[in-house]
Amino acid sequence: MFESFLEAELTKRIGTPVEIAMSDGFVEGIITSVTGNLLTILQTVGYGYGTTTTPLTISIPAINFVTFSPVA
Amino acid sequence: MIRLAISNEARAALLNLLGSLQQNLTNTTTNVLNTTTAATTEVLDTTTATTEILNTTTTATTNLLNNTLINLLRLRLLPNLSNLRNDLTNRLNQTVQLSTEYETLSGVLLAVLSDYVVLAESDGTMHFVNLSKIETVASL
Repeated sequence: MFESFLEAELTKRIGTPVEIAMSDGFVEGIITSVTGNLLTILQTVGYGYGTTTTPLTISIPAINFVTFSPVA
Repeated sequence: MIRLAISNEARAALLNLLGSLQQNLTNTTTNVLNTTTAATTEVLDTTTATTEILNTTTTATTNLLNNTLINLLRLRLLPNLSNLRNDLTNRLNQTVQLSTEYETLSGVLLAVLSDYVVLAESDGTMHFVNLSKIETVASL
């Protein structure tokens, strides 16, 4: 049901809204791509890192956890 | 040379016979040619199909081997998380509290994978927690 590696599981969920927690911050956005151990998202809420206009690339090993909220 | 005197009727019959023999020969040759062509085409088609199957099999095998190798390498390179993974595997389907540097999460432990675990909250929210970022584990 779930892929063995987080990277593969996130690849399956490209286009899905997520919340990503790093050790010292939190971002919300939509997964646009997964390349190796890098995850790129387009932020939907403008706090945390970067801006909502440029894609944010996150190192997957630096992620504490990824949250998927149920579809409202 | 032997010469035989034959009647006109016999001659006509003989010529007729010769004519039909020629026709038969032509028909047979055409049939043999058609059969050979059909058989060759079939053999060629089968060969193409075989080549395709071989190509597909080779590609699939190569991909499988590559993926296995990559996964093995990754597991080797990962910090030794097997103790944590074993502990968490024993708590599958239990309500647990996992702490990370950012936040402490609670929920039902749905799955323990190679480098992350899946935690589900009662409202359906799912957390994929990086194994290497888990600091404490407690059952609730």
